[in-house]
Amino acid sequence: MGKYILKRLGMMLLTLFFIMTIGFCMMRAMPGGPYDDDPELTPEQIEMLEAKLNLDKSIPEQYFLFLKGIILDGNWGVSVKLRPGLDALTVLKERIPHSMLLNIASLVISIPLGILSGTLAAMFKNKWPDYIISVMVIICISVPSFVFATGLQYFLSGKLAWFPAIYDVKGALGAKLYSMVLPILALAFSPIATITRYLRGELIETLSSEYMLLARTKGLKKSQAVVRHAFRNSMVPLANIIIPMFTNIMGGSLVVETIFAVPGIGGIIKDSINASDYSLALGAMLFYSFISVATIFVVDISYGIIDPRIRLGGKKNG
Amino acid sequence: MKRMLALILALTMVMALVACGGDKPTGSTPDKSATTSTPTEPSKPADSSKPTEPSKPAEPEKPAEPKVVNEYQKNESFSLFPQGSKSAYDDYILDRIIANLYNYLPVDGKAVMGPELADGEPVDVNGDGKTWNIKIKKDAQWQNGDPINADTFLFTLKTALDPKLVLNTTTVAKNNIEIVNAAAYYQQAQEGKSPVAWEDVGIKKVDENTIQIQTVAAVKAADVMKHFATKQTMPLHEGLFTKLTAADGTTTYGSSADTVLACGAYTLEEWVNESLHVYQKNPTYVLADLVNIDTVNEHILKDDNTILQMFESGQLDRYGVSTASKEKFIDDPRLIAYPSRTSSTLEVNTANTENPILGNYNFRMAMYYAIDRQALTKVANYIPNLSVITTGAGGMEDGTLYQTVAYANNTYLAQDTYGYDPKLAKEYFDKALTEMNQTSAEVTFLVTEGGYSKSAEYLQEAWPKIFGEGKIKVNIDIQTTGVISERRSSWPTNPNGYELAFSGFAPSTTDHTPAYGARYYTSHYPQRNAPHENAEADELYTKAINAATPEERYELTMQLEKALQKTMTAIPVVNGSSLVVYADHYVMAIDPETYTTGSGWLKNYADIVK
Amino acid sequence: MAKEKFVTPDALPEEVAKLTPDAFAFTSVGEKLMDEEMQTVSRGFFRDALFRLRKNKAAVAAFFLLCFIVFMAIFGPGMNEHTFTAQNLDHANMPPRIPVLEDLGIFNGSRVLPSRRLDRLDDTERYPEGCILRTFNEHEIRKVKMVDVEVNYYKYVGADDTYYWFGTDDLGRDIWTRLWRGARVSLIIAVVAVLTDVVIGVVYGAIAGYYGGTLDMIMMRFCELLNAFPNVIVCTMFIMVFGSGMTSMILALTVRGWVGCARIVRAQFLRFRGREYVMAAQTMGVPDRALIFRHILPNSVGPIITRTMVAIPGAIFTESFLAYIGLGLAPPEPSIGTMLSAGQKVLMEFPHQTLFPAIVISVLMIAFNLFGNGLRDALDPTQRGQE
Repeated sequence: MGKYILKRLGMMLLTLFFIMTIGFCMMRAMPGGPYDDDPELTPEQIEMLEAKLNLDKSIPEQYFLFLKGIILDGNWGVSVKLRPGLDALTVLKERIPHSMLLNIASLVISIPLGILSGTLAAMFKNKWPDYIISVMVIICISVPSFVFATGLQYFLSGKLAWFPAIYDVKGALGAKLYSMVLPILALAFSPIATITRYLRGELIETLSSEYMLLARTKGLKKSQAVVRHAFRNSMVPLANIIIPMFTNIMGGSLVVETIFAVPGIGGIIKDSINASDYSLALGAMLFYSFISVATIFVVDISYGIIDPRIRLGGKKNG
Repeated sequence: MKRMLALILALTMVMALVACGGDKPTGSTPDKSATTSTPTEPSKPADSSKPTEPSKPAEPEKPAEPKVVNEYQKNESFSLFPQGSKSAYDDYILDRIIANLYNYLPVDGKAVMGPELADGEPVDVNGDGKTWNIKIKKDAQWQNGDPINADTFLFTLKTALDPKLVLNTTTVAKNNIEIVNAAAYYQQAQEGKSPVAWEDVGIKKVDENTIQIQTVAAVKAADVMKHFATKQTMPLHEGLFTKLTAADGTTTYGSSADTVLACGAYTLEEWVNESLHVYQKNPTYVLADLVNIDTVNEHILKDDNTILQMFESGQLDRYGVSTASKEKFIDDPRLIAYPSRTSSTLEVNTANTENPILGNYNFRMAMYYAIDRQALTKVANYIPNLSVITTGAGGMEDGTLYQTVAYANNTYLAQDTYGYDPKLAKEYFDKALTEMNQTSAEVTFLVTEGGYSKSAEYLQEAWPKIFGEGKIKVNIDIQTTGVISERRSSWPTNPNGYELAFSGFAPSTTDHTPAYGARYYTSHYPQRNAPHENAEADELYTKAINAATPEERYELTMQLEKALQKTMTAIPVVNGSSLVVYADHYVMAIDPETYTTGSGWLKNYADIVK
Repeated sequence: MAKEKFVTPDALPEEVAKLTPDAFAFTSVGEKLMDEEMQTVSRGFFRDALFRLRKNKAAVAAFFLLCFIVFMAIFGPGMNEHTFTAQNLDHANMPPRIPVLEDLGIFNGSRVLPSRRLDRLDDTERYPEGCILRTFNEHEIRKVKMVDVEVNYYKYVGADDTYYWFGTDDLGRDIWTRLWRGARVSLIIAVVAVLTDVVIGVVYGAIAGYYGGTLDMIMMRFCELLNAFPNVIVCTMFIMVFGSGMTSMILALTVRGWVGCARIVRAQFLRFRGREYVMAAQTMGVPDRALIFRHILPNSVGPIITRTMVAIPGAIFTESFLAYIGLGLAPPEPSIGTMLSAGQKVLMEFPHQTLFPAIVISVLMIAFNLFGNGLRDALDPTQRGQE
């Protein structure tokens, strides 16, 4: 197991390196340069400025210099447009905590809630709890988050004044969490619904299998059988749902962040690509990629724990 | 079974959390009363906005309360390094925190240009209007107590003109006045330019508190004052700047609240990027008596719904009315409408070889006459505009706007109908088709979503009706701003990158001569987005900005506009219009009637009256 | 496990034991022996599935709902006199007005105009005869008496004889026509993108999951690599390079979309590859391809269909997200996504511009979900033969 984890860790780093390389080349090859929208500059001035950023060299050469910069001086590169002069990593460091807080909070809320409602729906299949949950799921899934977010803000903040309209960025932790309720809700609806749907489907399938019958014959109560046996089996495909979900929430939070004025990383990725702010865009992209790769890593490792039948590393006879 | 236990534990925790979440609304009621009773708390302003309705009646009873304004901006500032700043978004922070030698100040509800850090108007030393002494107030200082004196400004201007730094500061060398040798010093690093010593530049120190400016031509004191009222001449703190600047000129000066020092009406206490600016009244500001508001909280809010909602619930004191919400405020006595700085044109890429009809003059004239500018005002908040120069441009001493004079002199084509003449348009269009040997034409607009895309959509529908169905096909290509600027600016090397695009040009100053607003369409602009070949206009532009009297400048600018009409490579479309509503207790520093684009609203001197 | 009772000869009843061979005679001597013809009709896999699908009332209802939306997407835009491009700036942002329903007091073209000056209400230039339905909420702003006015907006703008069933947008275009046109565009984009995803995903996931080992490792690392690129970046870049059209939208949705499907298929393969029946088939010399597609893949049909059914509306969602960040379809072509994102911007002022696209996307979602569930149950090989 330990060896396997090490191997996967190495793989993860390699993946990240590939992503960085591809991302770097892709961004440089994209149309647009950082000084295109500045008509006050003469062509010579633009050349001077681009030379400062090595943009006058070929892409492989630029990449080599970029790697050299990272390895030798730990220098990722500076932002040129959005926060001129600032180290791109410093900029990201300011933004990431807000996004992470928001996203982790909404995941922490949505996973257990989704599992709970999914299990309930499956256990009471085609009875009233199932119907209620199904209706809620459909509502949650079928309205886009930006409509949801605006609606929440309008009713819970504007009409009822229960929650602040926007994120309280400098408040104490309590005030901050309080101001985060609406954005978290807006973000959590869709994952809750997704998990519920998926788990319900999986559990219903598992519930009809023989070992559940065996478990019941053994004398376990239905709930016991579900929790001890069926549940564990259904966790496997669920892991497949949760991986992209986490990255999806991160992506979807752009909208919610805009509406609730959260200074997160969502906006930076769009703005920096738009402005050809390469270091910043690459940094932001790599952050997303890291989240995604790390989640997969964790899930892969936990596969063995959740489902004893799936052996790691694709051994032929599991 | 441990895992099971952990799971159950996690579940209960979540249940508890949810329960807490449910409790919060009711639990917050005592919170509200607690915050309102402790008004001195620093976190108060943000909190006070929350319990709007219940606490409102109680507010007027506390006269000693600090005056707090809740503001917003839709875009974040990039940098507070005044000389490096390239965006208008930076201006709203810089205006608050950095004072200038001269500035617009409120006098009896009107904005008047006057000395801010300077001690009195500039003095014409020799009486020939070419050598000016500017005295700096003795008590001028930074927020940390460091003095602001002649050395500060010498350092600032030298940095601004530093050939190595390539800053956005051509206007320091030549704008309202032209400083001796300054442009040559700034450009010396460029190819074919000879070196110029700093000593030869017409910026000198006279004594500890006086600097001397030498100009190429004779100028008036008013022009000197306007020259030293722009963001490019705002003082830099030498010690801090040197500390934060690397050898290659990369600087972090002004990248956060800690890397900038204030000397203006407010200090920047907090700057959470993309979220919040907190300003406090600056007690060391030279004109601190004029500043009434103690704290300004400025949020960065991008979503119109959020802004409207916060304004309606009293959490914001200003609301910039969007096109959609115009109907809501149309009868509101608080509504103020004023022209924005941006005049937009439809730029035609005449260099395009794949669609040569764009190079046809008659076709461009057809487009000019085929734009119903009055109808476009229903698409968004616009003012019809036939000039390439912004509606608010002026420069006359009595405040007569340039466009008033230009319209009176019948400068524009079909100006009675705002340039809209479908019959004439069709004639020109047919002529163009015959000349180009084409039976129909196809054009593509390159726009951003939300920007001018609605105007493009309107024209897409309107033009086939004017030119004949099947005669013209209008496509719209929606792209991001980055792609658009690349495709547009690369026309010299890649002429087929685009065909038609809307340009919103907002020159930093048109106060001296409105002709600055046309600079973009002349060869005096280094990196234009379309060829705009027009030698006559280029020459008239030079004449106009060098002319001595405002009358002459107006006259030459009108000639310049007529010259531009002869090629019509930039078709004037509209001018932006801003609609704004302030909360009832907010008192503006100047009377809205006297507003000009040059002076702005002087928000630093506004007040709150309960 | 036979359930019959075996009985020993000793236990035979007496009269049976007494029987002699003479008591027996041949019944069919000289006749050709053959089985009696099968009385029941043999049902193939898909017929069986269809049979079970028909039994699922919710799925049938969902199927008809989907048919209805497809029907509307095809014929809806032609149902009134408006076209999806025709603009009328004087009729911008009209509220919905539906004949018959308007007599019941809903969708009657009325709208509240907030904060109007009380003293100007009798100005017939602005408020034509009979357009004011009621006034309420008198208040003062800066000492000016204001009132909220509910007007018949169609009379207010002088278009009393016109009907916009779902109202109009900010350029005065009929939302009904645009909505169904948009539904058509969105459905095409989503279905094409998702089908492409499924084809790529099934083949890829099956190969990875079936062969396992190093191949699986490499293939999955590739998925990981692709998946690790944020969707926003991938889509943005695609649209930046290929422009804003339907094709680039489909490509942008597909580029990463198939990975999810591949993962599900692979997981199912990992799950079933080691099962006894697969090993049995393998021992009997069934070729790999048949093993993959005939024996293991049917197990994945359920999850794939469930996923597809979510992915179609999901693709519509992604498209609307792209529209929200300014990368929508090129005008004037509408899509549910562009309409939703345009509606969100004016949600406070003109909720109807969000309401109708949101209803359509919700109905699509519900229908796809219920139908997907039904299909999943129907296609599940383990439930074959059960009713």
